[in-house]
Amino acid sequence: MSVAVSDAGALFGKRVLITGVSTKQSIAFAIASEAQEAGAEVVLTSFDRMRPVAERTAMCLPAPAEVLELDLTDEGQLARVADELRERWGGLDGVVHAVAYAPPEAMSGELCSTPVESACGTFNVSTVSLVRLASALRELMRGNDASLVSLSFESSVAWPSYDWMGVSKAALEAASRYLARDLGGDGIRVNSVSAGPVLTVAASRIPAFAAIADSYERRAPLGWDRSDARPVAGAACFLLSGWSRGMTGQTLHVDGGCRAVGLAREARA
Amino acid sequence: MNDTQSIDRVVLTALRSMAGVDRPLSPDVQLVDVEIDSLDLVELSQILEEENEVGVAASAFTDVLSVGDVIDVVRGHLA
Repeated sequence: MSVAVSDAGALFGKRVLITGVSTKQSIAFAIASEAQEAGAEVVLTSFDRMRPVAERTAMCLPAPAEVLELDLTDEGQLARVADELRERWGGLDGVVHAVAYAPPEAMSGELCSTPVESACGTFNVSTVSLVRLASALRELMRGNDASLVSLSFESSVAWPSYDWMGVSKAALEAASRYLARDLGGDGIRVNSVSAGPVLTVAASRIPAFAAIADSYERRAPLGWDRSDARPVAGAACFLLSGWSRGMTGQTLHVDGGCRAVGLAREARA
Repeated sequence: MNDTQSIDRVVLTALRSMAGVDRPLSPDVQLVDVEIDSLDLVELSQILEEENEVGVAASAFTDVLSVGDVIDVVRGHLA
């Protein structure tokens, strides 16, 4: 049973569903941890063979959290999770979408060589799932000043080997804006956090991840640590909190300031 | 039994369980041949941390191909 661990934080009393937790290195785990520290009650989701991994990870949170089975591409499972949350909490105050997947052929370094079905699969899991999640949980969030937060990666440029995941992240941010338009009337905010590279299990499968992370760590005016997801988690918790109540349809860049500069510090000197 | 032997035993026991075989796995066995994939290795990193307090990030197993590669990575984190 999940419990709030703080009675004084910015998320005190908030009921938050967090998808995409895998290991302790995952951004979703860092968000869950920070959210609990800020007073939120948290339930996680995972699915299939990743679920035992997520359940182990969930035991490492400040307050061990329950992990529900949820494949975001499965309408039946989305409906079941909505029912379970309705029974458990009656409503929802926050949802974190931290799910993405691309098969190797969708990150081969050559966009044109990706089979159509692999490109569509990547888009379905990584982008369309945000809209499915929002649709399934909309009623639970309505009228609660709720917040839906998704995780992106710098999508205004093309990266080596990121390919269809990069395309899907750009679309995720666009989908977030359209959801902001559609759900604003229900008092639901929809924003994205565009995170600098974090060495998660998923990221380790991106062929050029090390080169991209090296670039961030050289360029970031504030510095960047690929092994620390907490700065990203802090921004996500801000977006989940009432402190961001006037924001929707936005993408917050949490990258140590990389996006603001063109060259590494030593190259500028 | 020293630390290395103890860790090797944990690794081999876990890999045998993941592979679903009851015979010993020699170092030259290819992971793909016993249907051990990256998700199994994520679970292995958690088992190592829970049972032996050896912190091996799942990402450390990215390039492993054989049982021996896995053992080498884990031993590398004992040094």
